[in-house]
Amino acid sequence: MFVNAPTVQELLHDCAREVRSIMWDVTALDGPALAAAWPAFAVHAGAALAAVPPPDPATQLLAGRMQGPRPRPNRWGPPVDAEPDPHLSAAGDALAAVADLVQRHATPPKTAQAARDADLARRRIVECLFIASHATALGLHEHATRLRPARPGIAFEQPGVQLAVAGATLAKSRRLASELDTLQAHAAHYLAGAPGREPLRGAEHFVDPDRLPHVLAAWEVTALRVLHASPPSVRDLAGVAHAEQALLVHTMVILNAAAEAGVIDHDGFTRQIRPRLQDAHLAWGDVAASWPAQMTTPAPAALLGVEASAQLHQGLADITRDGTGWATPALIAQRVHLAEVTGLLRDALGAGRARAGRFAELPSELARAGQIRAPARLLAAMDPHPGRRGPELDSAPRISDVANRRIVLVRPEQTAGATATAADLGRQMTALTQALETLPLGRANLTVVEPAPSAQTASRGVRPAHSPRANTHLGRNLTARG
Amino acid sequence: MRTSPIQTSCNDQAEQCLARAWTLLDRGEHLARQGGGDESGPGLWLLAANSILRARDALEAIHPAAPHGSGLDAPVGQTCSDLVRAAAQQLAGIPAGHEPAGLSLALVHLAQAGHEVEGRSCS
Repeated sequence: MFVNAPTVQELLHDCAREVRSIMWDVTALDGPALAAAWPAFAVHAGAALAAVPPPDPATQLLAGRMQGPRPRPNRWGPPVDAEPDPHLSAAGDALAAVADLVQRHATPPKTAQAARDADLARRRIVECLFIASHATALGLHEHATRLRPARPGIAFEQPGVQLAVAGATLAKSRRLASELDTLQAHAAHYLAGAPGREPLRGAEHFVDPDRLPHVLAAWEVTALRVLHASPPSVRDLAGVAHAEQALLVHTMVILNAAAEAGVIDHDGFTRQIRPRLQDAHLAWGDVAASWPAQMTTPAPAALLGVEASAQLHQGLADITRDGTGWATPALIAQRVHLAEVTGLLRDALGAGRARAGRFAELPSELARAGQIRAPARLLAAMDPHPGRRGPELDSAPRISDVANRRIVLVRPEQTAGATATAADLGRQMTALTQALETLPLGRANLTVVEPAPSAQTASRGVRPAHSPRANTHLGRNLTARG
Repeated sequence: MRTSPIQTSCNDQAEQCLARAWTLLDRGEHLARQGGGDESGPGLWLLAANSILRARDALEAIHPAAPHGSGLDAPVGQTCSDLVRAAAQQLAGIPAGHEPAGLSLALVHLAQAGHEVEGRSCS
C-alpha cells in the first residue's frame, strides 16, 4: 500500500518552520507556554540528534546536554503549569518523528555523500534547537521583567503586584532562561565548530515543494488585505509594490532556467516574455516610488505585511539564489519541477495584474477621503504644473515650502501622476500575462516520454500532479494540483 | 503607576536608538535602489533594497514615531553595508530591559539585510 509519509528532510523543514514562527513576536505572555513546552522539545531534540549515525563526541555531548542541567526530577528548571506553546510542541513532535525514522532505518554512512547528509541532518537539528532555546529564553526574560520579586515581610496579596503568571514565577523564569542561555551558547559553539561540519553548497540544498505555493497564496491574501484596508498604510503599499517587483525578478530567473531546460519555448521566452518582464519590473518600481516614505495615511506600517514579504522573498530565493548570487539554470532545474513552478508563477503574475489595477484606484480614492498627507515641498516637487493652483488652498505650494516641513493633505488632482503610473503598470502586466498564456511549451514538454520527477517529488514517493504533455501552452490547467 | 526619571531616560534612549536606526536604514534602502549599475545586476540590488526596507518597516511597526524622532541628518559617504551595520549598532545600544516587543523580528530582518549587502559597494 502506498503511504505518503514525510521524509526526514521534510520533518526537519517543518521543525525549522515551527521554531522560526515562534520568533514572529515573542512577548511576555509567551514565556510560561514556551517554558512548559521546552522539556518535551529538548528530549525529542536530544533523541533525534543522538539517533543520526555515526555518533561523534561533540554531538554526544550536546545530545546528553539536552537532558537538562540537573538530575531528575527537575531536569529543566522548575515545572511550569501553563498550556504548552503549540509551535514548540509541534516542532518537538517533528523531531520525535525524525528520531523514530532515523532509529528504524538509518545505518552508518558508507559513502562520503551519506556522511555529508548525516552531518547536514545534525546541523539542521541543532539549528532548530538553537532558535527554540533562544525564543524560549527571550520569552522568559520578557516574562521576568513583568513580575515583581517576592520580598520577605511583604504581603503577597498586594494589589497590582503579580508574582507569577501561569505558574511561572520570577525565580523560575530567570533560572530556566539562564539554563537556556548556556545551552544556546553550547549549540552556537557546536554550529560554529569543526570545519568538517560546514554545509556544502548545491547538492544538499533542499527546496520544500509545498513552500512556493504556500508563500504565494499567503502573499496574495496579505496583499489583498493591504490593498483593501481602510485606509492602507503607505509603507505597506510601497512594500507590496516592491515585493511584486521582486517577484518579477525571480520569475525572470526561473523562466530563464525553464527556457534553458526546454520546459518552455526558448525563442518565445527571449522575444515575448523577457522584454515584457523587464517593462513590468520597471513599472512596478515606478508605482512603488509614487508612495514615498514622506507620505502617510492614518494607518501605521504593519508587521504582517513585512513578514509576508519576507516569506515570499525567502520562498523564491530558495529556488533562485546560490549564496549571495544567482543560482545557475542547471542548479535551479535540479531543485524544482520547472513546469510546475512556471505555472505557479504565471498564476501569481495574473493575480499581480489585479493588484496593479487596485493601485490605479487607490491614490484618488484615498485623496478624496482626505486620508493622504505629505510634505508640501514633496508635492511641489512632484507637481508637473507648478503655479497653477491658487494660494488660497492650504495644500498649494508656497515659496517657504522648499525649506520648511509643512505637512498638508493631498488633494485628488495631485494624485493624477500616481494614477497614470499605475495605469501604465496595468497595461504592462496585461501584456505580460497575455504573452505568458500563449507561450508555447518547450521541446522537453512536447515529447511522449513521461518526464522524470524532480528530486523532491521522487523523495516523497509522489508523481507530479499534472502531465505537461497534455498541453502545448502554459494554460491554467497545467498547474492544477491534485 | 509613576515612572522614575531613570526609567524615562532609558525609554527616551531606546526611542532615539530606534529612530536613528530607522534613518540609517532609510538611507541604506535609497542607496541600494540606486545600486543597479553595478556588475552584480539590478536584480540583486533590488532584493538587497527590499531586505533593508523590511528591516526599516519592522522598526516602524514597533515604534511608529521612528521616522520623525531621530534628529539625525541622512548620513552621506557611507555604503549600504556601513549603514546597515550602523543601524545594528544603534539597536544594540537600546538599554537592557527597554527593548520593545517585536524587536527580535526586526533584528532577524536586519540580519538578512546585512547578509544581502555584505561585500557589495554602494554609495
